[in-house]
Amino acid sequence: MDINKPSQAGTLESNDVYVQLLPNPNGNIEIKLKSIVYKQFKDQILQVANQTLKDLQITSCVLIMDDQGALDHTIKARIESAVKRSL
Amino acid sequence: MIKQTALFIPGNQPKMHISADVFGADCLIFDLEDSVAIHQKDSARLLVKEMIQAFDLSYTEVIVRINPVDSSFYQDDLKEMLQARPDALMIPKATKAVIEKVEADLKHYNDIYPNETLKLYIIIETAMGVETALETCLASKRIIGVLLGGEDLCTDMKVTPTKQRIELQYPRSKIAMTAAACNIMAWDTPFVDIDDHDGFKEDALMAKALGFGGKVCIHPNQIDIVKEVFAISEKQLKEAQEIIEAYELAQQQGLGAFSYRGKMIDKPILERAQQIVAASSKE
Repeated sequence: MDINKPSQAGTLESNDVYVQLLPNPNGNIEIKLKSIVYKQFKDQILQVANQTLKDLQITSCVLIMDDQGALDHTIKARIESAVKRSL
Repeated sequence: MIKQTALFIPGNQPKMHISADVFGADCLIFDLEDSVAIHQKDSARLLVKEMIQAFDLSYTEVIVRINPVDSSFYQDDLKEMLQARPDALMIPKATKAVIEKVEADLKHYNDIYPNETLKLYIIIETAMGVETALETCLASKRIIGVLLGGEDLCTDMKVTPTKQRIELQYPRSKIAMTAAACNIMAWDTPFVDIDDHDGFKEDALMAKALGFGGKVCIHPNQIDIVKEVFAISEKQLKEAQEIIEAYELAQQQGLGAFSYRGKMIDKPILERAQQIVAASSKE
């Protein structure tokens, strides 16, 4: 499933993540991550993001994440929210 | 389970969710209604669902206040929360018709999302709601508690809230009495001035005197005050224990009525003493 229109979800508040979802003309998944805990948790955050997109059957998008220390469940919820808003 | 304190937590604020366990509230009410902006309702329900599924919240009772039944958010709230499986839903602006609608929807979804153990708390927050509270509380066996929504009630009555809460005297008495009649929990209305600790304590004392079992908190600094107010004092417990001892002695002596410190003790007083001792053992 592809993303049809841009969307966003979340906030820049502490323990939250602001996500933006855009259509990707390249036809694949591209994730751009900025995080206050990038060094410690980059891999974990990307793993959760990729798994969430897979679970939602998204095969193509640009996902931009500005993370303020969100836990896995918050990342998952915000991405799901952005996906639903983009459909 | 003691349920004197119930803390409202805005549904769309992750930082409040993850620190919820340190506040010591008996119940947590994740809110999808008044504390969530309209354009964030969709996001909030997903966040609350993921949070409930991800964390071990067995130390508390997990309640979700969903949006009113006549709102465009209700159906999606219900479907997502049935997947989240909280202990209870809190239904705002409750009336008999509203509860019957919720019951019908829960039954409809039961095959997909089993929900027979799901309980309900209801919020009485309109004038008609107050007047018809008994039939609303009896509308479903799932209902285990009722909350008085004082602010919305004042709006419905078109009155300005007073510091002394004069406008809530009748509704508070009515709701406490109805809850007792139905043998369900009664939580008093929130106190919105979160910096007025003395005022909050007075308000909680009034609620206790009227028969409420606890009070809803909208800020963590209210929790300890509620616990202090609703706790059974050592003096109360000692007196209750002495009344029971005097009763047992009277029984041994074959006496029906007996006196304690100059007062005749009859059945209601004895039962009250037994309730105090039982409640104290749960604290």
